Amino acid sequence: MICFLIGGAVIQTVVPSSAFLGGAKLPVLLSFVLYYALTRSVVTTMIAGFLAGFLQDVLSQIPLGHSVFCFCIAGWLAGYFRSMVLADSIFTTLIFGGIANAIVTVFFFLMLVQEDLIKYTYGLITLKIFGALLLGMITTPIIFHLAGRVDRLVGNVELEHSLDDVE
Amino acid sequence: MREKKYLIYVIVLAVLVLLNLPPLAEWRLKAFSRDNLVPFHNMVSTLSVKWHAFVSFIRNPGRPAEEKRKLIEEVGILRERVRNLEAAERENKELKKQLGFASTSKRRMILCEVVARDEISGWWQMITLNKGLIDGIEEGKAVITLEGVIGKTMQVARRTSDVLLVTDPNCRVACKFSRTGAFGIVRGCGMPITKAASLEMLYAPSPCRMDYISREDEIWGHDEVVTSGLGGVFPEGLLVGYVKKVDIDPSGLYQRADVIPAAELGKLRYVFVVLQ
Repeated sequence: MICFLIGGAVIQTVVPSSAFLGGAKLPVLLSFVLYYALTRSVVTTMIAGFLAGFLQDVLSQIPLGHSVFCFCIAGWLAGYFRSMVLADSIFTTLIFGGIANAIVTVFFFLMLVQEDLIKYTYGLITLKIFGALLLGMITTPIIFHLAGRVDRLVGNVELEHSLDDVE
Repeated sequence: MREKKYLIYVIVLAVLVLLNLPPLAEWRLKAFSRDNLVPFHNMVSTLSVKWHAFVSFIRNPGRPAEEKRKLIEEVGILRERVRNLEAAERENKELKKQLGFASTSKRRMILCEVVARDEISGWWQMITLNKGLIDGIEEGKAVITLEGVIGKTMQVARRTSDVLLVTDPNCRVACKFSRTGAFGIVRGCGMPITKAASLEMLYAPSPCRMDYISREDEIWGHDEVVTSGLGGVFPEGLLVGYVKKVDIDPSGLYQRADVIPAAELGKLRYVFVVLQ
C-alpha cells in the first residue's frame, strides 16, 4: 500500500495540470483510497485514506490534517457503495471516480476558502470541478485496473480475504 | 474484529490530532517530511529532464549540434559585452568617487534548481526549489530568472523552498509601467502556464492581471511591466511581463491590463532567489 501511495503521489505531482481543466490534478491518491474502499475492509481503507491524505498535506500548502480528513471520509463513504460499484467494471468505476473526485474537490474548495487560503473566481472553480470530474473518470478505472493486477500478482487480495474470514 | 475497531478509533484520534496541531509543530512536521523527500524529488526531476532531452533528441537529432553552435556564438557575444561593461563599471566607479557618491549595493542572488514543477493538490501555482534555510533562503524573497520575475518564496524548509508563482491569485506584486511610470498591482488569475501552444490558439487564458491603474494613464499593448519596489518583497526594476490587453475595470474607476509574464513559467529549470 505504501509503495502504491508514494508512487501515486509522485505521479500526481509530476503530471502537469491543464489550464483548460482549471488546474485540476490527476486524482491518483484519491483513486487508490477508492480502490481500497471497494476491495478491502474499513480499517484498511481508513489507513489508506490517512496515509494518502498525509502525503498530500505534507507535499502541498494544505494545512496538515485537511486532506487526511477528506480522504478518510471519502473512503469511509465510498465503502457504503461497494455493493453497488463493481471494482472490475470500467463503466461503474469511471462514473464513481468522476463523481467522487468532483465532490472531494468541492469539499476542499469550501475548506480552503473558509480559511482564506485560496482566491478562486466562480468561473475558475466551475472549470476546476469539471476538470476534477473528467480526470476522476479517466484516472480511477486505470488505477483500479493496475492496482487490481498488482494485488492479484502479489497475492494481497487472497491474504486480505483470508484474514477477514479468520476474524 | 474488536482489535480492528480499535484501529479505527486510533486513526480518528490521529486525524483530530493532526487537525489541531499548533502551527509551529505542523510546520516542523511538514519541513521534516519534505526534507526527507528531497532525494526522491531530485531523482524524479533528473529522470524527467533526461526523458525530455531524449524525446527532444528523437524528434530532432540535429538540434543539440545547432544549439551548441548558437550557445558558442552567444558566449562570444556575452564575453565581449562583459569586457565592455567592466570598462564602463571602472569608469563609473571612478566618476562616482570623484563626485563623492556612496557605492550602490549589488543584488545578492542564489542559484537554485527546480525539483518539482507543480503542486500536488493543484490548488496553488507553485514550484519547489532544491535549496532552503541552510542556504540562506528565507520566506518572502523574490524569485527571478534571466527573463523576469517568477514569484516569491513561501514555505522554506531546511533543504527545499516552495515558490508561489505570479500566476497564483494569492501572489500580488506592486508594479509600474517602465514607459509611463504608472503604478498598479499585478495578481495571478490562477491559470497554470502550459506548453500546449496549439491549444492556447483555441483558448488563451490570461495568466496575470494588473489592477488599479489610473484612468488618466495611457497604456499600450506590449508595454513593459516592472516591479515598483513598493511592496517590500520585490526590488525595484525587475521585469514582470508585457501588456496583452487593456480595458476598464467593472467599477469604472480604474483601468486593468492582462499581463503575459516575461519568464517562461512552463519551462523553468534554474532560478535565482534574490536575497538582498
